[in-house]
Amino acid sequence: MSRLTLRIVIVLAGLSIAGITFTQVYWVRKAFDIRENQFYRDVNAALVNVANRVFEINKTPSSANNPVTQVSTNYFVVTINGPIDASLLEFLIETEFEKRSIKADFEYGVYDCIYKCMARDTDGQAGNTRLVNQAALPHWDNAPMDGYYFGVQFPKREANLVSQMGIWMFSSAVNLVVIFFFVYTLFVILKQRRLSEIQRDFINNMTHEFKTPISTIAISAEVLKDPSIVNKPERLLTYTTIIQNENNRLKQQVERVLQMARLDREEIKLKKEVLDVHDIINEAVKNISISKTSSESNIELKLDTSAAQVNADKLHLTNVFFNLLDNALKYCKETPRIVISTTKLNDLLHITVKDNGIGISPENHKKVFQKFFRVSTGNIHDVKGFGIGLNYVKLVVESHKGKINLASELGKGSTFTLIFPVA
Amino acid sequence: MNTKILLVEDDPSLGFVIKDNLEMKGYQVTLCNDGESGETTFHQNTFDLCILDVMMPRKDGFTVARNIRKKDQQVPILFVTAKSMLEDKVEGFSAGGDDYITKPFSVVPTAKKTSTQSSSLVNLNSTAAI
Repeated sequence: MSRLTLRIVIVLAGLSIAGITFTQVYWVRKAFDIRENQFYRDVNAALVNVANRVFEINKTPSSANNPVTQVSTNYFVVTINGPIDASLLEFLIETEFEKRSIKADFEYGVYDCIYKCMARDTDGQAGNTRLVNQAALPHWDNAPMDGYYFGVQFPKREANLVSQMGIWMFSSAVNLVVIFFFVYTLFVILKQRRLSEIQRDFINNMTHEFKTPISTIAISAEVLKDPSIVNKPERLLTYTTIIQNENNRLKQQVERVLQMARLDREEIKLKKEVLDVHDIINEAVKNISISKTSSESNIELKLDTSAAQVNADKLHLTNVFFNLLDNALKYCKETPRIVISTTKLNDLLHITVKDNGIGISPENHKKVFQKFFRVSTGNIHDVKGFGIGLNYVKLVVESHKGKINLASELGKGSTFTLIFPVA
Repeated sequence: MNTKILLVEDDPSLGFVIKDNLEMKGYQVTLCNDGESGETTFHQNTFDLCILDVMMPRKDGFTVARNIRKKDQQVPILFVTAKSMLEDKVEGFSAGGDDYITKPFSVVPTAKKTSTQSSSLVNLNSTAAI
């Protein structure tokens, strides 16, 4: 998928998702408003009836004005013209609410003319518990001077309304699932894209590594084809040696690729034994000084802990240190100086490999552990490699239940810290 | 007069083999291991032909070619590289290369007098890719 197509797809999908979300939010709010209005109307009508019943009981003519006033979204006040018994009022309210199937929990309070405060009763749906709480319901400022009134409050009005909107909750949930899948798909597409890019880089890199020895062998073979070469034995020897070396190089490269493919297919098989990490480090240092004849002993060891036993696979762990040292030497423009130190902290063995190399910029810290990833240098080809080494290191360290951390800055060297549980 | 060739190739074996072959055909070859030394060598001497690898330490072949072109518009430049993608070839020609040969290749050098330039051109025939 080209970059442009991908962009168009993302933008269109984003727009459609935004549109769906907007529509959903709009309709949910609309539905909520409708229900709310209906609820207010029902409560209003019920309270008017209650007031009328109270007037009847008190044998006073009903007032001409609407006795019900909505003070706030969930608080209603009803003006009456005489004292009323709380339990009677509760009974009246309950019957009226039942008639109109208003199922919300409510609290009510009767304004006490003598003490000038509200006495409150809580009703748990059927009037089972009664709780008198002074001044819990707000005082109504606009009340007539010597008027009686009672207040009704719905403490869980919103939760109650929401619970009645099941279908809307369902459609919103579906909407969320759709958004989640979209994000997930996008993530997968981007990941695949990056993988294919890495793969392309790897193939380019590998063909370069393969084509050079193949060219050398091809040219050498041409030279050897010339019959007159028999007369110059030293030339013959030079070319056959070159062919041999190049052949070995190809073999090594094939081996490395195969090894990686094998690592990919199955978990690393570990032959664990109790080992002294210091031995392993010394072994790796010895190996690296054999393979890199040019590098002198610029590897400093600060092996502080006396006991550095870990349960590990010898071969793989040696490879890990070899790879780290190899990188430290390869990615270095000055004379390499490597410090390996070990410390023990709460049953954890910390091994740090510090170099003075070219360093890794922070955005690449995670990526260097990915397979085939190599920090891009364009056509400048300082260091050969396939982008496998650190991936292998991470795999091995993690299969030993260890951890690897990287601290590095461009131009300031890198420090790899390996943490293993002590055996 | 011997034709002088600047060869910039980072792989020591391939560098040696090309150099040796060209020398066998009677050319005078200077081999450099990386882009930077190739460029300095070019500025210090005069050459009749430049053969450049692309992926090299320190400085890549395209940059070297551009810098050579700043000094010398005439000298033929040949790229010899494993990078075989079309965009690489296009970049090679736009960097001032006269020909672009992808590895693996074989050296069949035939000296050809070009009338416009009083220098010889070596033909490196690219064989079929693997």
